[in-house]
Amino acid sequence: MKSTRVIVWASLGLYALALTTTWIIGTHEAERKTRHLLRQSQRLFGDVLGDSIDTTLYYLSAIVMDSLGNTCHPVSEEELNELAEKIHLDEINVVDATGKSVGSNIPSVLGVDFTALPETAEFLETLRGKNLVSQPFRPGAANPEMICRYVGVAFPDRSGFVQLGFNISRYSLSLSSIDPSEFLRWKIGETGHFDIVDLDGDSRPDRADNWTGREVDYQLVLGPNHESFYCREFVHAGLKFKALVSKREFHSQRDQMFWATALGGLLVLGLLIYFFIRLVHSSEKLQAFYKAEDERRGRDLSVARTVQMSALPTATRAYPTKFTISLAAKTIPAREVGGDFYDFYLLGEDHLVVLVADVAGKGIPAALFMMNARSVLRATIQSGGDLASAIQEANRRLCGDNEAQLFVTAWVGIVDLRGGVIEYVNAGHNRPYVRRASGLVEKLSAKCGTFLAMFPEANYVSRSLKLETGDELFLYTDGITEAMNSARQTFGVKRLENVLARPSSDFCETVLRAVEHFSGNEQSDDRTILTLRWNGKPSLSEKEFPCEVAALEDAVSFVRTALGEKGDRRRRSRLLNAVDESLSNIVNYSGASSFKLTVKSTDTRALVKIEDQGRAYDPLKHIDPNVSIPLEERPIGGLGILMVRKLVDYAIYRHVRDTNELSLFQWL
Amino acid sequence: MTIKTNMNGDEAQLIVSGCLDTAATVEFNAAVDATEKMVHRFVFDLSDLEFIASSALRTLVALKKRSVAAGGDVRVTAASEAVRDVFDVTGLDTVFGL
Repeated sequence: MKSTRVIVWASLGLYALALTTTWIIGTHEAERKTRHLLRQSQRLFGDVLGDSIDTTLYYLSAIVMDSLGNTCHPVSEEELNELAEKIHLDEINVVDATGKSVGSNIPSVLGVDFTALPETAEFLETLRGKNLVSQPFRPGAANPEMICRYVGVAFPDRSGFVQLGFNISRYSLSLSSIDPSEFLRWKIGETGHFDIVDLDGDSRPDRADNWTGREVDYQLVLGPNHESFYCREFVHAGLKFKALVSKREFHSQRDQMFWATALGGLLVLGLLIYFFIRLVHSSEKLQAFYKAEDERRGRDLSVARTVQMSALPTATRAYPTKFTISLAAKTIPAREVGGDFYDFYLLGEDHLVVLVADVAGKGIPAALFMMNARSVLRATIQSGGDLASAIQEANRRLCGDNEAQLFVTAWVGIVDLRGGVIEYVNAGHNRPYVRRASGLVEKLSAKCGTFLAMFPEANYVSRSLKLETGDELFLYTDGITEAMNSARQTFGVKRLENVLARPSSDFCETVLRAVEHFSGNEQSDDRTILTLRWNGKPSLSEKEFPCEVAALEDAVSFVRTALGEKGDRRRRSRLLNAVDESLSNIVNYSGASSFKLTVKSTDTRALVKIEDQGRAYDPLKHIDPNVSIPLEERPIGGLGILMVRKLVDYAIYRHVRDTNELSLFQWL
Repeated sequence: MTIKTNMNGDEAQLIVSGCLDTAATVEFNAAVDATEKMVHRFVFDLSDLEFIASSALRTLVALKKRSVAAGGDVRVTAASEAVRDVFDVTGLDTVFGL
């Protein structure tokens, strides 16, 4: 299933994305923390070593003050030089309470006013109670070439202070004399450490601000046992150091995060897939439910279709006694129930209404509207008055009861069954055709009005049309011309006209078959056709015969001649057989002196009327002999009547004005 | 109507063509009576018959009864569509082995 695949791939993609993000962010964070730690460690390194110098210098100041008698007084250069040599100092200044140098091993410093410069004035703080004033390495006052660290300590009696200067090169020397393993004991993080890289002092700083070290590099190096380290190189007092911290240590947090995400993600993924499968499973159940529901609806719709179809009159062999016309009509809904319909019904004895209509839309709503439209049209047309007014009234009523806003196109005609004149209204429907007996196909293009059920004030005009013998009216809906084949071509008007131009005994079937052949199994719209053929006046023969056995042969021959070669031979024979039986009955039992035969026929039907003035007798009331009982037990007689009733399509008996009138009708 | 009779030993074949209407039954009855004097086995070929009147059917039924009683039989071997219809609607098709 496609959606399943999409979901699975999307989940895996998200999972991979989450892992990658965790990895990248974790790595970035680890490196940031590592840099921070290494910088901190470097600062700490400097602070710790600086403190140790200060401590050392503090103790040395005690030695100096002790040798001076613990009070401030002028001291000679030589004495101080000697002292400096002894305790490995570079500069010793003795300053009195006013800030004036009263002794120094550097000649130029003697007599200098320490209050004059801010950096020197700071040392006077010692006189106000501060134990130690310490300054970072900076160029010396007397000799800027000499980078010194200075501390000041007050005499115990506050009579002045001593300032001691410590040259950085001396410091470097002392640092380099420390066993490197000393530094290795200083831990960075859990496993990191410091390392001295350069012992030769080549990168001896010449500027004081270089002393605190600069960030030389931040890089990954391979340590012993091929372990990776993050490394920061820095310079301290002219010596190059490295602060190292193991990559494994700093990535452990990231790795933990990564694995937590991976496992959590797997769990989420698993749950996701589990629920998804359940979802798919339940949607399959839902689909099965909908399928069952569809089938149930299908059954309902097929019932609806039966109801709808049975509501339309059957055109095949409708109105057998109306010899002037032959009707055919069929509707094939696109769905189970459709919006197309045809209708026909008699208005009195001599007029026939024919109509074809198409409700916009398909399915149940259109079908319901169709039933309504059909009964409204029936009601208004049957109420009398002229056709245009009836259509106008039907339109008005349909407009008033049309919440679904459907509309219907209709072609309605009233056929005068005596003369072949049709009065019609085309309410926005497809223009029908008249196929003349000559094969000429004419389109009825006259305008009559718009479609029904939309505009209550719409006006309709009726037109008229005259059919001659052999002419045929062809009504249809757009489902015929707009039927589409697989190449999305429509059946179209041209194809329809071509089919109509060729002769056919049943254009309804011929056109429907042509459309079906054209479009294959596809049917997107209802297809409806109604055809009305004008047969013209039927041929009529009448003759009176004496009521005797001898006349029977002539009488049968008379009918045979009247029928000629019309229709099917077998059906003609059946009618002749029935006529013979009926006449034989009359001759034998009626007691009449004569009988009269009237034969009315067209190509498709025949009516034989037998009239006599004998005893009133309805042969059709005679009970059927039981044809299923054994021959030996069967009474002889009654067979003839049975044959009459079974051999013809309709047999009707009337007794009017002392005359027995038996009509035998046969489709030929 | 025309009737052609062929004798095959103890069996008579009657080929009836044209129109066996009520009027023609008299002639048909006469032909049947004449043949019955010779045999009790009848075979009718009605394939060229336009229609058959009920009176002729009655003749056939009576003939069948008599022939069967005399140890013979009456069968219809062929019939036109219209005639077959008559045998069908009267239920006589099986009686005459049609």
